[in-house]
Amino acid sequence: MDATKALHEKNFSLEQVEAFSASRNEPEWLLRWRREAWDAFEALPMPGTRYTQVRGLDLTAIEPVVDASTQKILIPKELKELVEEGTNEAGALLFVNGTLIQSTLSAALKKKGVLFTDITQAIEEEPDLVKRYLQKLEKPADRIHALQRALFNGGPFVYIPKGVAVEQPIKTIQFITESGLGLFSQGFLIAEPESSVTYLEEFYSPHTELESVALQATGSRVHVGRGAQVNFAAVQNWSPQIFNFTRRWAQIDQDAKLRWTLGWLGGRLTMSHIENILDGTGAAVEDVQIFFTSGRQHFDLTSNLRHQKPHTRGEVTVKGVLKDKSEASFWGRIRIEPGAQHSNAFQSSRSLIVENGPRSNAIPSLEIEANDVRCTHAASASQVDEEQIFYLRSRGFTADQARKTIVDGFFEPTIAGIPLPQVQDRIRDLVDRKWQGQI
Amino acid sequence: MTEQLEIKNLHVNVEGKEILKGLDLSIKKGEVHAIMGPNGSGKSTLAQSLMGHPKYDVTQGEVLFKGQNILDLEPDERARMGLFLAFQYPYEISGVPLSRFLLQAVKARNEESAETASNGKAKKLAFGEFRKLLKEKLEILRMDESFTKRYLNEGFSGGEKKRAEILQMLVLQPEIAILDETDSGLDIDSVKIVAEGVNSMRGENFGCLAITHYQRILNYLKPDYVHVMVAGCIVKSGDYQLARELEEGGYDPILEELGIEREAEEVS
Ligand SMILES: Nc1ncnc2c1ncn2[C@@H]1O[C@H](COP(=O)(O)OP(=O)(O)O)[C@@H](O)[C@H]1O
Ligand SMILES: [Mg+2]
Repeated sequence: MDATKALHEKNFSLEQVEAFSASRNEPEWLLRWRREAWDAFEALPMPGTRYTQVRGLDLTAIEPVVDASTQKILIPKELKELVEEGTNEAGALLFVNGTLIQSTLSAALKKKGVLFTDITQAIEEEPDLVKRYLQKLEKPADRIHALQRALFNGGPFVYIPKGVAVEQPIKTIQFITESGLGLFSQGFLIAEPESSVTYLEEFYSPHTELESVALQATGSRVHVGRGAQVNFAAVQNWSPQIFNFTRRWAQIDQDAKLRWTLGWLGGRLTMSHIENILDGTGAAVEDVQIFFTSGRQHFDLTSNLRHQKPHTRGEVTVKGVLKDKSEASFWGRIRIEPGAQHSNAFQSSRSLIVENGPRSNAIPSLEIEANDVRCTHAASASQVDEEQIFYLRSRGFTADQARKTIVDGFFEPTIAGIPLPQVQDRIRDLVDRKWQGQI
Repeated sequence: MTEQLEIKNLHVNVEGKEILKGLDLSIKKGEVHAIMGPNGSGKSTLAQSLMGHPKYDVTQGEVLFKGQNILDLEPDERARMGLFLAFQYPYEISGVPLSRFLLQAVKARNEESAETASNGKAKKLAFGEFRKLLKEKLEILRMDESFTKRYLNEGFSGGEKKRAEILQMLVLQPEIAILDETDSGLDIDSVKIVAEGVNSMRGENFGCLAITHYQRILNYLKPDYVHVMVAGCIVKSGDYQLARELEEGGYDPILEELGIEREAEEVS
C-alpha cells in the first residue's frame, strides 16, 4: 500500500516509537509492549465494517503528538471556564491537544488512596500496578488500535481502592484545538471490590472548525471489581474534521454493576467499540448511548455483551437522530456462554430520521449457548411523521420547531433516565446547539 | 366588516378526488356555527383544509380570515393569526410533556400577535403568568395539574385526548376555533365540561365552527346557526331547531326534500 509506505517514511516509524519511549525513560517492559503494538500495526488492516470505511483520513498528513516535555500550553479561552470548573471538582484532568495541563484531586480522596492521574505519571509512580493492567489488554484489533497502543502518550488512570466510595463525580476533559494532530491515549478505570465511582469524560473542540482533519484514538479498560459500582459517562463533541476511534473494554466481576452513558454528537467519523465481559455471577451492565448526526457525519457504534457467568444482566439501548446526509450503524452482539444460565440480555436500537437522506443500520446478532436465559433485541428506524408535524404546526410551531420538538421528545425519556443531571443538561444543550447549526 | 371567517366556493381534492365541491360559509365575530352531516360528507376535509394540511389540495375558492386570504399561508401562520383546530383524531407526540408543549405554543402564538397586534391580548407572557393561566383553564375543564406532566396525547384515553384539545384551545385563545367531533366518544358529563370550556371563550373575539353528529353538545353550545353538509356542500342552513330535526329524523328526510341521492356511507 502506497499510503502505508509514505506513512512509514514520514510521520510514523518504529524508530520514532523507540525514541519516544526512551525520551520518557520508560521501563524495558513498556518499550517491548509498544514494539509489539508496532508489529501489529504493520500487520493489521485499517478499521472498517460492512457499512463503514475510513475515507478522507490521510495518515501521512497526521503528526502524532509524542512530545514528552511538559511544555507550557496556552489555555484556549473556551477552556478557561472548564479549567475553573475543574478546580472545583473532586477530581479533574484536563488535556489540551494531548498534553496534560491540569490535574486535580481532592485531599480527601488522595487520603483514601484514590489515584487519578495521567497514565504517564502513573507509570512512574505505580509501575507494577500499571503493568499489571496494561498486560491484560486484549490484542489490537486493527491498524489504528495498534497505533494507539504503540504511541499512546497519556490518558486518565483512575484507581479506586477496595471499599472506597467516591461521592462526587470525577472527570477528564480532552480538548483539540489544532488540525493535523494524531492523539493517542490509553485510559484505565479500576474499581476494586465494593468501591463506587462516577466518572465523566468530555471531548471538545473549539466552536470554530479546524482547518483540516485530526485523528484521535482512545483505548479504555474498565475493571469493576466484585460488588463495585461504576457509572461511566462520556460526551463526545469533536469538531466535524476529527476522526475518532474509541475502544472500551470492560470486565465486570461478581455482583458488580457498570452503567455506561455515552453521548455522540461530533466528529467526522466516529468508530466506537465497547466490549462488556460479564465475568462474575450476578454481574450487570447497562449501556445507554445517544447520538445525533448531521451533515456528512458517520457513526459506527458497537456494543457487545459477553455473558460468561450465571445470573448476569446486560442491557444496551441506543437511540439516535439522523439529519442531512449522515450515516449511523449500530452493531450489537449478545453472546451467552454455556455456563451463563439464568442470564438476561436485552438490546435495542431506535433511530429517528429527520429528512430523507440519512442512512441508518442496526445489526444485532445472538450467540446463545445456554438454554435457560432470556434474550431479546429490537431495532427500528422511523421517519418523522408528517401528520405529527402538521399537528404541531396547527399550534403555531414553525416546521423547524415542530421537527425539533419531535426530536426532543424522541430523546427525552432516555435523557431523563441518565443518572447524572449535569450530563442530562450537557446533552440537551448540545442537541439544541447542534440543531441550530452552532456546533 | 364583522366577518371573521369567510369561505367562498371552496373546492378541495384529496388524492385526486374532489371532496369539497364549492362550499360557502361565513362566520361573523362572536358567532357559533354547527355543521352536521353523514360520515364521509367532507366535514374533516373542511376542517383540515382550513388549517392548511398539505395533503388537501384547494383547487378553487377563497378563505378569508379577518379579511385576509389565508390559503397561501402555512398552517403555523394561520395558527398564529388565531385559527385553531381541535382534531377529530389528535396525534401522540411522545416524550413531550403537555405543559412544556403548551408553553411553547403560547410563546409561538404571542410572538406573532406582538407583531400584528389586532386585539388587546398581544403581549409577552411571563412563565408565572403562564402557570396561572394554565391552572385556571385546567380548573374549567376539571383536569388535574398532574395531567400536564404526561407526554402529549401519549396513552391518553379518547376522552382525555379531546379534553386536552380543548385545554389547548383555552390556553391559546384563538379567534376562530374549529372543533372536529370533539364531543364524539365522550360521556355525558365530559360533553358538558367540554361545552363549558368552549362557552368560557364566548364573546366578541371568539367564533366557533363545531362539527358534530349529536344534538347533545349543541344543547350547551346553543349555536347561532346549524348547517347540514352532504357530499362536499352545505345543503341546508337553519337555526338550532334544525339540529333537533336531524337528531330525531336523521338525514334522509332532508336529502329527500332536497332531492339528493344518498351516496354509500363511508366510514371515516
Ligand atoms: N387524508 C385522506 N386521505 C384519503 N382520503 C381522505 C382523506 N381525508 C378524507 N378522505 C376522503 O374524503 C371523504 C370525506 O372524508 P371526511 O372529510 O373525513 O368526512 P367526514 O369528516 O365528514 O366524515 C371520504 O371519502 C374520505 O375517505
Ligand atoms: Mg370527520
